Amino acid sequence: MLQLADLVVRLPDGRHAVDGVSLALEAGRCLVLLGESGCGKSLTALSLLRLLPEGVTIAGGQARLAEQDLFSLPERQMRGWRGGRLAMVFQEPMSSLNPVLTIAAQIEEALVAHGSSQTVASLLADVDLQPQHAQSYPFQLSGGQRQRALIAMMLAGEPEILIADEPTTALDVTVQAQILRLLRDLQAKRRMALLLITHDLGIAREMADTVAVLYAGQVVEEAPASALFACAARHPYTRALMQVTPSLGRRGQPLSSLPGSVPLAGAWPRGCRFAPRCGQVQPRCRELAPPLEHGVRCLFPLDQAVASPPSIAAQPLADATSAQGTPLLQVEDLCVHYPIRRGLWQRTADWVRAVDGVSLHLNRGETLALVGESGCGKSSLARALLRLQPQATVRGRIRLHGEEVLNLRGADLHAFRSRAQIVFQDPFSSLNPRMRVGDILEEGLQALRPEMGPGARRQQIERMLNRVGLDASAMPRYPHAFSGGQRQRLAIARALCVEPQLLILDEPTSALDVSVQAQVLALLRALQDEHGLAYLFITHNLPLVGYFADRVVVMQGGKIVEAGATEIVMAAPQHPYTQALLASAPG
Amino acid sequence: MMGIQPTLLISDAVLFLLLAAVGAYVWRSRRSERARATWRGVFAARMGRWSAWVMVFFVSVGVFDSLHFRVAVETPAGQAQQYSGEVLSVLDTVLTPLRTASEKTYSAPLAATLLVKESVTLADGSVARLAPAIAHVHPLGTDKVGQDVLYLALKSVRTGLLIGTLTTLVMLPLACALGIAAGYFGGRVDDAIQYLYTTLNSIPGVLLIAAAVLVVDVQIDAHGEWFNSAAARADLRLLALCAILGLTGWTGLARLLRAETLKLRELDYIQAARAFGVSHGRILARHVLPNVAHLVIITVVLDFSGLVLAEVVLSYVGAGVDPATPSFGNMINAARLELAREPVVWWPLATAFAFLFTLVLAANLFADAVRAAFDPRGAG
Repeated sequence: MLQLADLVVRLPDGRHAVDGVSLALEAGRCLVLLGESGCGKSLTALSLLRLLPEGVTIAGGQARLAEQDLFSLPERQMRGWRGGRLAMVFQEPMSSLNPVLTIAAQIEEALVAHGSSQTVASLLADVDLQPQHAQSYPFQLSGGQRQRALIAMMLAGEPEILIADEPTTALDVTVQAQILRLLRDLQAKRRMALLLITHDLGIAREMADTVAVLYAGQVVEEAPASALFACAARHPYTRALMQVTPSLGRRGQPLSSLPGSVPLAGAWPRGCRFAPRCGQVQPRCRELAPPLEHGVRCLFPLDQAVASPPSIAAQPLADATSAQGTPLLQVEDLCVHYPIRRGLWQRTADWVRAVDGVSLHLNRGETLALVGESGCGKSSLARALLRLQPQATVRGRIRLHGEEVLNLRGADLHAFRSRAQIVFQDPFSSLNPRMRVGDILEEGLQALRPEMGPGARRQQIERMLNRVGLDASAMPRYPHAFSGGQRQRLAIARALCVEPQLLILDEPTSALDVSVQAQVLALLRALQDEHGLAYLFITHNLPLVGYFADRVVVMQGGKIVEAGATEIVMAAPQHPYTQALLASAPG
Repeated sequence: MMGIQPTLLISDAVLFLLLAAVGAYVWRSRRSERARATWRGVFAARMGRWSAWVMVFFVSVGVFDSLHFRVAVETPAGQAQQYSGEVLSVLDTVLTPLRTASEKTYSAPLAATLLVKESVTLADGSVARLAPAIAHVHPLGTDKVGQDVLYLALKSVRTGLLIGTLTTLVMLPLACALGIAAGYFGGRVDDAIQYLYTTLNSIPGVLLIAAAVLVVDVQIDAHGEWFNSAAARADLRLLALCAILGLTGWTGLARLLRAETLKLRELDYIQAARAFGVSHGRILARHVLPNVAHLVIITVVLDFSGLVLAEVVLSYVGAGVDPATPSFGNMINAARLELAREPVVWWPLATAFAFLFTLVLAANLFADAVRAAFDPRGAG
């Protein structure tokens, strides 16, 4: 139905971000555009709607929809086609809706714009929203409901093609599963073509009829989903992507490593663009740019022979788990309550019970995963463990190494800080953009090891930088000069500088590409073996838990609903909530 | 032998202290490779270089105008040497031809005659009305009492710079300390500071300042013995004005900083610093302040022009600098009547406007170059 041929997108400085992408969309079918960040998948989608950011232009190619080239259509006519024949659902449902208009008003606006005969009520019913939601404002809806409202708006013009750019990235797993199901149902019912953009292999496997894998601005492999996922991929990149994705089945084995990261737009190597990271690279790959033949852009495609996925039954991880004796960290009946203040005198009117009676323990050298959806209190718990909750009332007992953490004051609290550290989710906001890397790493040492001289501090910093795979040349640079994965390494090095025993990892890989995630996980595993670190691993990613954690606790509404050894909880969940979580995980 | 006696007004002392501080900073950053590289970045940009030269010109005019002295007057033998009551500056000496070349009244730029006609008795006894020839050429004309407008404008530079910098000096620590403290600590501290600036803001600014200036005026008038010259008196009034403008003008910047700090406080790198047990003072100095510095620079430079304009408004209500002090405010204030004349006397206003425009534009461009050079994202 829609034929995109040889699309070239040029950035303001003349570099090409998308370099000859061809795709075909068919009615009633779903094409998944799969790729890591920076490979040009969002720009491809925006080009189809001709909504590229300022200065970014379409430098070549054609997009034929009903014998008409979209790229040569006058802007006035294109405006009618946007939403009318092609519609797009964006990643962030909050910023895509106008906060001061009701849902009904916004859907009505779209209906009027396209002169549609549908009604607000029928559209809301189509996306499974209650009729009373029509009069709600966006802030009154949950993230999933907002995304539904947005989809209803997009359906107003009865589009033939629906483009969804990471539509569920901002949502919890259970909501994600519902939205994906909704998209699939709508597509079948309305015979739409769906172009779904994602970085998540699980989503691709669940949704796609056809998968196009994008790398460095080019399609490197295109294949029917069934063939791709059943018989293994033929392009080394696709194969590597599948192998670096953690899962319960890969437990205990190292994830095959995909070194480096996606090259920047325009800084592509000569010859095959994947050659520098490829495990099967041959001398010719560095000379000759391979064409896309039989759906693979590789000079030496892999056999399509059925790869035997290592389906070894999940086993308990090595020795560390069985470490006996008193646990390093013991939490008993912990409550973290935030006061809600009202009125002129800010009297406490009520409490938000973010964490409500949680008990857990963590041994030396062990990884405990804390799983739950947003708002379940897992981050509040992490901050309370580190005594970073000045506004909240924290009750219960926290014992680290036999010490009552909640009673620590002054010098004792200071000493505690070097024993427990944290790595945050977003490596962009966790490093001060105005401090040099050397100063960032030195800060903790200055505060917690005042007895160390400048020379000793420098030595320690260099040692840690080397340990996380960077070197001393990083010290005079600012954080913005590093990629997301490198920044997360810096954040880990910063925490390790003060030699903690407990490291709290607050979704440390959720902002990273899957290949970089594998590198960071390998680093964390190696550091744990070396130093006997105990990890409290906070995440919502269940396959990751299955791969990485020894034990798991599942939190819901501030309480622990299930706890146990990972392989047992993942294989036979007892609590309905855990079962729902596991059922929702894509893939 | 005519001697001179150096005279140090209070504002001179403050200005020189400020220069010494800048000098000390330059001396320190010359020894650090990083700081040198950053400042090289400022001057490498064409805009940065040009605006810096313009600023250097204005500042040197201001500095030369701050080297004050009094000339000795002839004293009968046997008595202690006495000095003239008039305080001059080095700039005055340099500009002596302009300073002393005065006319009777208005004359247009480069005109050969005065603007107004006079009845003149001619040689044959008849009386004619004609504009008398003027004694000197004035590139920018003369004002009502015949003073050279270029000279006035150059003398106004010092007043403008002083009001801009001294007020900022009073305002900046207040705004930074209170704004950041309110945002970072929150709770009762935030409440107290918010009440304070809401109260200050709820009084109309000009009236508050005018009232405060009048109070100071009364004190100055009651203590004539404090001053040994009219210049010292005018100087104290200028300083008082700066202090009052500073004490009332910090609220806008403080509110901006509070909002920005509220946002920064929740960022992970501040949480990480707290997890390291870094003290509040160090967090504020190393994590918060550098990340709001861009706001401070932009606001201060924009406020600079606002302050000079505030001086104009205050002169209008009679609460500005001393009427005898040359200032852009006094020049613009006089233009009210001049623009109503026929023919229109436009040049004092135009001169004041051109000088102000150049000064403020140069300050803006220079600040922008500094901000860009200190932004780590700009440097590779």
